[in-house]
Amino acid sequence: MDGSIVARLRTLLAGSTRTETVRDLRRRGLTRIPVLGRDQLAALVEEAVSATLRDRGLLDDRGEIAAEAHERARGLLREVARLEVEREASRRAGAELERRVDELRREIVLAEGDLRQARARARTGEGLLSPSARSRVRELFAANAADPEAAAEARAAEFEALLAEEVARAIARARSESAREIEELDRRVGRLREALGKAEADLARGGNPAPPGIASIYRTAQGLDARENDFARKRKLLERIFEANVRLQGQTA
Amino acid sequence: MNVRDSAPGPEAGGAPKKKDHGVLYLGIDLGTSRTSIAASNGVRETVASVVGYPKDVVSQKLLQRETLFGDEAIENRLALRFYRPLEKGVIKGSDGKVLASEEAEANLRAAKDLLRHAIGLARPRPDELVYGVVGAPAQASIQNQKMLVEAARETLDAVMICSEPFAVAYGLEWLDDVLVIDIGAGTVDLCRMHGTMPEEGDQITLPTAGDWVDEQIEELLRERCKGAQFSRQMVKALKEKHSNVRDEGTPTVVDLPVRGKPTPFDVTDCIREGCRRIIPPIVESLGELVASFDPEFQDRLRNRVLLAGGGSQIGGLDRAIEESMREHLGGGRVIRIEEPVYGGANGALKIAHDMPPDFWQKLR
Repeated sequence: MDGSIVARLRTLLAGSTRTETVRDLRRRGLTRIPVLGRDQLAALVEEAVSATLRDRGLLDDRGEIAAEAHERARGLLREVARLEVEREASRRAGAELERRVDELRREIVLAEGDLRQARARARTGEGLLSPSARSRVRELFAANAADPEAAAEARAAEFEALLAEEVARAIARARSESAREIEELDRRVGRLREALGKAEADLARGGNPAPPGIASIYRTAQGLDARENDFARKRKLLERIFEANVRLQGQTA
Repeated sequence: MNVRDSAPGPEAGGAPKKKDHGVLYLGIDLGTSRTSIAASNGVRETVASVVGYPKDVVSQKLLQRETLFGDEAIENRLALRFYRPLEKGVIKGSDGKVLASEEAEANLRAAKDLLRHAIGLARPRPDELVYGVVGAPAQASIQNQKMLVEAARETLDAVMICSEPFAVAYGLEWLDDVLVIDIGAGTVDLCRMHGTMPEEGDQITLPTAGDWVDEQIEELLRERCKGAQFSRQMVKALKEKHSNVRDEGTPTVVDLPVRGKPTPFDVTDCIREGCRRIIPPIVESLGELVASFDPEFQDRLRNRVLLAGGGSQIGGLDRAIEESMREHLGGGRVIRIEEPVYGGANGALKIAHDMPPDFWQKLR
């Protein structure tokens, strides 16, 4: 039984009962009286209230309402938990997008640095002279220092010819390599910018980040390995495929 | 393949790691029925060669996508403008067949979208250069090949086209005295390899391929399963699940609707007969390629027949072709490749990898 009901009943009885002594009762001829304990009284009251509520169809509704309220409370708790998970996922996606955007920005800075260096190298013609030409120049100077008079004209002419030839060859090579490097870096920067634009748009939209992709196992273009079986024949076959494609793409362009 | 120059490890000291991953190679088999892709980052994917665009705003809202591909497009095809952009191994409209310009444009767009999707499946990093080799039917015309290049150029940094059966043989390093049979949905390509690049006389393309087999089975089902209702797509699914040319085996009983009620039909003979019809044209063409070869090496050629492509998965086909070769060509040995779906893509990937870097540079 609910203790609070007993206590309230006790208070109620204390306020509305009167006290009679045993002597008074005997005087009135009463030798035995029925006794009802407070707990029994509380139980009777509770039973009476429940019976009345049942009779009026209120007791079942109360149970259902309580059950429904509990169910709603549980549902709300579940919804709160789900929203917490979603909020955490969105936070993570946002963080991932921000990380990706930062990474792309860093990559663009690095690629642009490479591009600047490549352009500078192309302008300055760094590494124009091959090691063999350099050593030949040194030999000529050494010979000239040892015997300044001997065939100076011939040495100068040889030096000039060597220098002109080497410089022309190196310029052509450096230009071609630089142009290729610059083109490649330009493409990479372009691609990175495109990826950055997409990632920033995703971030602004609050969407999920696009996966960064899986890196190729190759950093540079490969080509048939000279140690490969049947190298010469395979190389010939590849040349034929290439030539056919050059013809085809020449027509397409 | 040798990894001569692999990606760098993380740099010490917390300096920003330079992500210079370089070059991604792709081998692409852009087939009539399936498009398969093999990439140098280890990814291999295949997708049904179909593309769908929502018919209207309602379907777009429902599907929440502007373009659907593969099985997803097939499942939702009633709500889509549905395209199979390839026919007989090439982009529709590129084979001289007159298509209304709108239809031709739509097919080219679908082919480009399909290629872009397939390349996306390889998950390339945004900072990598992507070089791809695309397999084409052995006797694809220059016009067909131009269309393929045009479709691929939008997505790849550099592209090359090569004969599909050649790619299969190159991938397996069978370059000498080999006959390759590549059975696709649109074409059966036969290619004779003799150590050099196959020429026109070394290659035969037949239209009696997977789609043609579907037609044959459909015709037989209409004759023998009276009242049964079915679509070409259902026939294709039946073939893919139950195709077989062997005499023995358990009967294939399937439920087909008759006036809306699923009704069991034994389709064993229809499927077997339909599939078997692919054999005579193949063996006849093998005979032509053998007969026009150096007599000294004909026997060797007959005994080195590679069977590839999605159609090679028909149960017992290798043995059935051998039997027919025995009867008509005096013998022969047929070897089915291990990975029919990826044979072309794997070979194309190997060609892409082996191609000298300056060749790729020149095609960019």
